[in-house]
Amino acid sequence: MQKTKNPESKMQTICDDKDRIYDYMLAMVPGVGDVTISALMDAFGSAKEVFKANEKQLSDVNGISKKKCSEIIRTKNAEEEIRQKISRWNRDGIKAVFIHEQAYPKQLRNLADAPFAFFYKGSLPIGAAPTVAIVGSRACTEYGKNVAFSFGKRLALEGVQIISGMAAGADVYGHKGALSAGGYTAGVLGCGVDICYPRTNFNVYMEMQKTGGIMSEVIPGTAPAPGLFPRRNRLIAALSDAVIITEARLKSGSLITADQALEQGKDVFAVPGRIGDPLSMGCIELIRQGAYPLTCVDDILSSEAVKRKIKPCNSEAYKGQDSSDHSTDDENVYAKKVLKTLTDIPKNINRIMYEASLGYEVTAQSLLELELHGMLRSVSAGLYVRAEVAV
Amino acid sequence: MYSEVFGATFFGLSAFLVRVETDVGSGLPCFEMSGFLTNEVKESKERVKVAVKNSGYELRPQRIVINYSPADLRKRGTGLDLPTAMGVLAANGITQNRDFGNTVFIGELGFDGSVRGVRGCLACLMEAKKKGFKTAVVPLDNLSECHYVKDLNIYPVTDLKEAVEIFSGETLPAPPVYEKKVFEDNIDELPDFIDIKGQDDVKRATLTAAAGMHNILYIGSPGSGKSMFAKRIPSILPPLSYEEQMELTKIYSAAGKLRDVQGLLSKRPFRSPGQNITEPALLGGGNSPDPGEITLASKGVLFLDELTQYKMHVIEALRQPLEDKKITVARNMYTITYPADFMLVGAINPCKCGFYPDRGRCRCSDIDIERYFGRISGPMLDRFDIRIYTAPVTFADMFSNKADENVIKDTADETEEIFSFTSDKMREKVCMAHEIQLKRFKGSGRRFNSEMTESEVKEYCHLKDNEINFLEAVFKRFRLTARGCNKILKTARTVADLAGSSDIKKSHIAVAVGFRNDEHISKASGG
Repeated sequence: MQKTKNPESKMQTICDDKDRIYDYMLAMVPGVGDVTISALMDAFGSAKEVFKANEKQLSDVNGISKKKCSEIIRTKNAEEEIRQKISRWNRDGIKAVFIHEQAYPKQLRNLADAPFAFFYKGSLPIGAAPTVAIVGSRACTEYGKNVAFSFGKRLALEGVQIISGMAAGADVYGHKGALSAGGYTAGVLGCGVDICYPRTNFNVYMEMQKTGGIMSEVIPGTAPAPGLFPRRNRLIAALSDAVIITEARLKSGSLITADQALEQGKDVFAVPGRIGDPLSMGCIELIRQGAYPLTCVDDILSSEAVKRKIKPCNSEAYKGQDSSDHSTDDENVYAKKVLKTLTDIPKNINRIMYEASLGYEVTAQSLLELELHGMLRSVSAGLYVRAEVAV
Repeated sequence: MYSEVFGATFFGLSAFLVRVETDVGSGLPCFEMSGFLTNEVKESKERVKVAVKNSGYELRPQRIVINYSPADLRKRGTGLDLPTAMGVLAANGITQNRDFGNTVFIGELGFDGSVRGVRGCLACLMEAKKKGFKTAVVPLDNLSECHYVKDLNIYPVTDLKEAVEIFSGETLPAPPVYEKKVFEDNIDELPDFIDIKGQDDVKRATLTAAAGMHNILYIGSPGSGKSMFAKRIPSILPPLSYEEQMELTKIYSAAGKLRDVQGLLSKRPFRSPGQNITEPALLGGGNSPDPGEITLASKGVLFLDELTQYKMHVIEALRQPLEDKKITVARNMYTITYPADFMLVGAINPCKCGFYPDRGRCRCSDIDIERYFGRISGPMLDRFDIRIYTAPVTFADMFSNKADENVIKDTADETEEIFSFTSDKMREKVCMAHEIQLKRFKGSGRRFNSEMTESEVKEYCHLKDNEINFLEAVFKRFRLTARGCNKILKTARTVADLAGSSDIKKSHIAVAVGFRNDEHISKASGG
């Protein structure tokens, strides 16, 4: 995938530019947030100058308390320690990009509270490529999983970058879909990029580092904490051209992301679920408030924000995949019958054999073969759904 | 004067003969006993003295000394009352001083001279027969378990006097003849699978489990019928053979659990101990070794409902007996081995709230589910060859009268037979499968597919190329372990046996894989 080639591969590491250490140090001063940093940068021009300044000069800056002042001094004295930490991060493939640097994602600069430092593993999304966020409930239904996966896959095939939060449920299925198509997908975490949270998604976490990225505004090593996730959501929205909400309850983190996307002027697409389904009520509410109902991939692709970035060359990619008939022996007849009965609503084998009017053993065999070919998913509890939604 | 009488006592499930040596002589009147006795035996001196008196025999004040030999084995139980009393009477010359060397006495005495039933009678008589004894005097209460011991003249008595009178003549009277009832397991008394509507996959899994004696775990929301299935398993297991009945009766006799049973135990046990059970109660043990629940469940079903609610170290302790089919209880005072040849049936909710995967109701996170399921260790979950999810019963299932719903027309494949799940029909199938397995394992000491060793799996679960490729794909897709793969083969063997097929086909493997739910279990338990 040429387009996912990292544009910052030539980016200066700490060894190339001696002054970057001060950027790191500034980002790591405890109790000093993005707003303070921005004030300091305005006053002194660069991080290096900040640390050159004496206490008097620092406290002259508007908003710098005595405490912050002494923290900055203390950080200055811990330079050697921080150097070691950074070289450890470098070894682990953790990189950082700072707001005044060329490589800093443009999309984030528009934020009023843009993070001073942005840490990542793998590579950053490309600003020029269409980017869509897929978010949704963590405790999602099989339908939600399939929708997230299918959109992730189809959009990735169209060259769209998929952003999400690597949370359980919809998020991770969006990532998985993009990964299955070999596309770029990035997870924006609420904790340090070196922490896989939730750890159940470890495989995806590792995969994404290879072909996509893991990123976060907090310093590596920061443990996940409740307050960090809503702030993380604004970054997901900022990095994307459009946001898909697959499923959401009326009060949920997914709706926070949607709100932030709207504030940032992004398109919000909500998957219209069934009325009365508590996991769809959030989406339905969004549609009522003016979000676009999402019914197929084209809804996204034809939206202004995405369309202008799309390169036409990728659009045939999916068509080639569709011919799934590879063999035509007897077993396939059964398998086809079984496949026909599958939907997004989980069914157990009793129901499937009844609907396909097949015997138990034949049905079991067909189900297993379909699963081996990735044409169905067995969700927990001996229940089966089709692997994808046609979107 | 001196006399020698034989009694018997039991230790665990094995009995041993006790020589009761009584010496009556002059000296200060006393009643001394020796020979490593438990309290209940020591206390027998009062029962014996009073019972003898109240039976109308008068003893002059005298020094009575009794020794129980072998003196280094601990004697327990009240069954030694009768031989003690007989010994005292014989030493006093009240019975004709004849040779008691061929007779074993068993029974507890009451103050009125009555002879009452005791524990472990069957084991004692079997041992006596083995040692060449010809005659046995037992309490009438124990007759029903005893008169199945062949080649032993059994005199049931109700009081001490009767026992003495048997030995009053020159020769022994002919032993009374009792009609030996043949006890057939009456399947009609057991709950029937016909009560369960729908859920054919679970019925099929249960059938397979019973056919190969595979351990089975039911996973399902509350009210989805997990215990209903478990309780019906005895109804589809084959009837007990005579030998099995004897063995089982011996266990229950030793445990003192035969009070209300007439004759040999003919029903397969179904034991479902409560969640607060302790390790000794489950495995066996105690001050004087008593068989635990796993031994009482021999030849039958041990059902552990709400598996996560048990103390985990207790559940983990089942791992060894499940492999060995026996349990060795080692204590300071003794080491004893009990049989533990049972089928383990477990039931568990899929998550804390119980409703996963119904996301409309269940809001447990993956971590919650993992935490709940993870209480049971991977190796323990691995002991269940079949892990089947019980889907909640739909209203339509509950009230459908369509018997033909169980009989789905298989238009595509005529080889698969149409089957309706009633206990009768299922039992027939299980019996058939058991017979196939009996032939297969003849002489190897094993009886069921679930007990196969690695080398036997290789021998009896031979696959053709096509099937090997299929299994390989499954192995890779589900990241199976070698053991998991073997378990699947064992279950597949049983599925093939049930289908009357000598080869294991793809479909049999598929069914076994479906029964094992490897991926979900390992995901749920955090593996």
